[in-house]
Amino acid sequence: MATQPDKLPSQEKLLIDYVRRLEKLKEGRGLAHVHLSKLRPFNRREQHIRAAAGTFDSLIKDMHGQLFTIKNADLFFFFKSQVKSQAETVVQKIRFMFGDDPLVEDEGKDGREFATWYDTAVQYDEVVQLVQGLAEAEEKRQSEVRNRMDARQRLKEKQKKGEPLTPSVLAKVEEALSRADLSNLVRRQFICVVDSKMVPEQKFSELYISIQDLRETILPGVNLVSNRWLFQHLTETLDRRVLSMLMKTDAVSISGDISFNINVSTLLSDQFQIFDDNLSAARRGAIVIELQKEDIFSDLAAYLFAREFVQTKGYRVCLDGLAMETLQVIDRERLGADMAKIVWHPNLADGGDEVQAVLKRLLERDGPDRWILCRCDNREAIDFGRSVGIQQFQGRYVENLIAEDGRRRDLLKLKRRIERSSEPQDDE
Amino acid sequence: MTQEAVLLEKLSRIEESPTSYFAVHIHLSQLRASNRQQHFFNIAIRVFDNLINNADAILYTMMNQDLVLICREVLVEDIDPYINKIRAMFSEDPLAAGDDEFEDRLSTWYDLASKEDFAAFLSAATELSVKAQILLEEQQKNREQQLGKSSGDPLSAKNLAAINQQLQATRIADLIRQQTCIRIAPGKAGAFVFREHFIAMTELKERVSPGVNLFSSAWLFQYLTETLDKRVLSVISRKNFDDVKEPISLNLNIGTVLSRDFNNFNRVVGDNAGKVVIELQIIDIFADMNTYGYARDMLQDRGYKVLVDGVSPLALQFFDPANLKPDFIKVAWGKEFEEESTDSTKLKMFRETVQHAGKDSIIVYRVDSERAVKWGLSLGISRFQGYFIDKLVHAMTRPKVQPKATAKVGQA
Repeated sequence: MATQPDKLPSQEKLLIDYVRRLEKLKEGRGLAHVHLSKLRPFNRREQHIRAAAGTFDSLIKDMHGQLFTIKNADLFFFFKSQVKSQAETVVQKIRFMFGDDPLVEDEGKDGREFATWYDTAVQYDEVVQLVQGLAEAEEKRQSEVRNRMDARQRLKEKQKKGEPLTPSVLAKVEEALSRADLSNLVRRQFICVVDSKMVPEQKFSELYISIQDLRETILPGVNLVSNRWLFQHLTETLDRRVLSMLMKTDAVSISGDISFNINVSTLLSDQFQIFDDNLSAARRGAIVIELQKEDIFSDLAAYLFAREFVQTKGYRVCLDGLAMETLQVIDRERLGADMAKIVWHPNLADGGDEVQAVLKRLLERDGPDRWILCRCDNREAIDFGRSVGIQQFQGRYVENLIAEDGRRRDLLKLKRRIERSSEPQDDE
Repeated sequence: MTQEAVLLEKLSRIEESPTSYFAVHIHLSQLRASNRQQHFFNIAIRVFDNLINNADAILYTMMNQDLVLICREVLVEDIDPYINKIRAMFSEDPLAAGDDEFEDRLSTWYDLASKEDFAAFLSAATELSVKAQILLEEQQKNREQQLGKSSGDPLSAKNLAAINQQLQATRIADLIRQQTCIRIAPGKAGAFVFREHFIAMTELKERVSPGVNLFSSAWLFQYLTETLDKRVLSVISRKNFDDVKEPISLNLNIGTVLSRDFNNFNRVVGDNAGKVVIELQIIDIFADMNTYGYARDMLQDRGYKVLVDGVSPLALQFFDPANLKPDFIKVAWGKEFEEESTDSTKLKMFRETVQHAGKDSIIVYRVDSERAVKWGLSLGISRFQGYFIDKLVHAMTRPKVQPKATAKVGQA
């Protein structure tokens, strides 16, 4: 039986315990937090981390300090103040070990540090926060994913969201889709510039099929998104229905610029050609085509071809569904998309300076017109977005702002009307 | 009547008074295989719709996917934008790149009023017509062959359930094939890195669904691989991992890695996780990066090695797989790399990836020639897999001495 690391007390837990006990002993002690997690991956292999941790051995043996190596490879070394200079020498040694890494080379630039030093007597609260933040982030991440795999969670999901989608159910759904009238399932959400006073200004609107309502209409009790591959296949069927609906109804004449989600394969299909034939050149310029990253990377050659094709026709292309983890890997500019959407998640705000710096750099490079923060459910999302330079937002909270703004305008109109109608009386 | 024949007929009529006629031959047949898809071709044709409706121009579509444009009294400047649109669509293809070269590789122009050009174009058109005949015959033959064999009906929601059922019940142990990844150092014997275990898909298809093309939908195929994963894990679990000498690698979905089936497998593997490499696909990783990060950490914590599979030379231009922080990255050897002498930006990006990931993380696979190995070695890469390597392995294992497991996975 393999050792089960999660059954043993983890270094994170030990670290928290230690910091808790430290409260009584915080006088005359220091902490060196060595940011090995920021090293390049090839410098962060097990043997490197072990070697780095090993340099503290003599100090530990002499009972001058205690070391914790946490999951992300960061080192936490607590030491007695009298050996501070020795601890500094050790950290210097580790720094030399990674001399060729950008972390060391760029030290000092935009606040990058190889190691952060704390005086536990003075900065005890800071240390507590630091350690708790790390442990919580790890715990949260673990439970988030584990929940999904857990049988209990699956059962809960089933009870709440319905039976999982299976191939035979998928066949039934597709069959039903071919007959269903989707026009009353189309929803619309606005992408708005939101200013510092939280006043929204509409830029364009996304049209989408409410999957929730679709489920209720055609197959109540089935969770359409429970299997990502089957769902992805289902979206190809949906694409075709949406395109034909956009042509038939007056959806094409919907006011203002619009966007919709579609698969690359659909862009290359006859249905899209027919849709395109029915549009005027001017209307194409008012349409934004949203594409999913996994769809793009499943056949890059097809994406590149389709992107070029639609862009020369005048459509704009928006990369949809970016998140904290994907931002570092997928580059909008390299992919040649006109815009990109980041999905709001509190982990963006929790990601700290690093995530903020990444976003700020992107916004500075591209300008605010190319980026949208979507699924903004609360004010925190808008505040975070604005703090990194994002100006365009989408989501339930933005819809509320629009409604509020509408009410305010109505009130204003009403007020003016009252004023006007009362004016003649004043004259009398 | 083929378009080629129609074109030849048109030419014979033009010959009588060829004034102000010209022809443009667009060599789409010279595109890379990945760009020569029928739906690309169909869309490329439509680029010319406007021109054909508004000017005296006719477009002929050749059997080999070349296009021929015959125009009369049209300004060259009015044609250029259309050719450039085609060029932009295939901008990643070397065929479209060479505008600054002496001659454009994408299009050839003929002034049909000039006797010399007319003769040259006539011979080009004749050649196209001969090719068309050959292609027609080949197609006929292929169609007959394919009637009972590959391709077949597309995979759809309708037949998926039945095929999935089949997959669960079919014997697959005998369809598991192996291919060795080795480490090559100049002047030394190769050392084993791992043996990839994979399912022979075409044979599997014959067994479970001879009439259905399993690869027609990327998504539905991916769904089937989740079922396959479970079958493969149960077969591989029969091994006694204490006796396994050389590390093995398995292709799995991230969902499988986090499932009960993998947990059971993990129990069988015991303390030997260091002997197992798990290969994850790019498409699976991008679908949910958060879960990928979790699965990767979980695997690495337990001692497994994580390999990112499915990175094409093209993909390297669009993201840096080193950011996924795996133990290994498999990069397919491709013609693209050979053409690098003229276009160094792609090579530069690959060098960056090699530098970020560390050269010991990179595996070049689909290695089919010594040239590929030399190319890799010149970049500091030492791990290789592919047909050419199979031959080397064959030669390595034949001598009297048994191959020793000289390399442990991940060892530099």
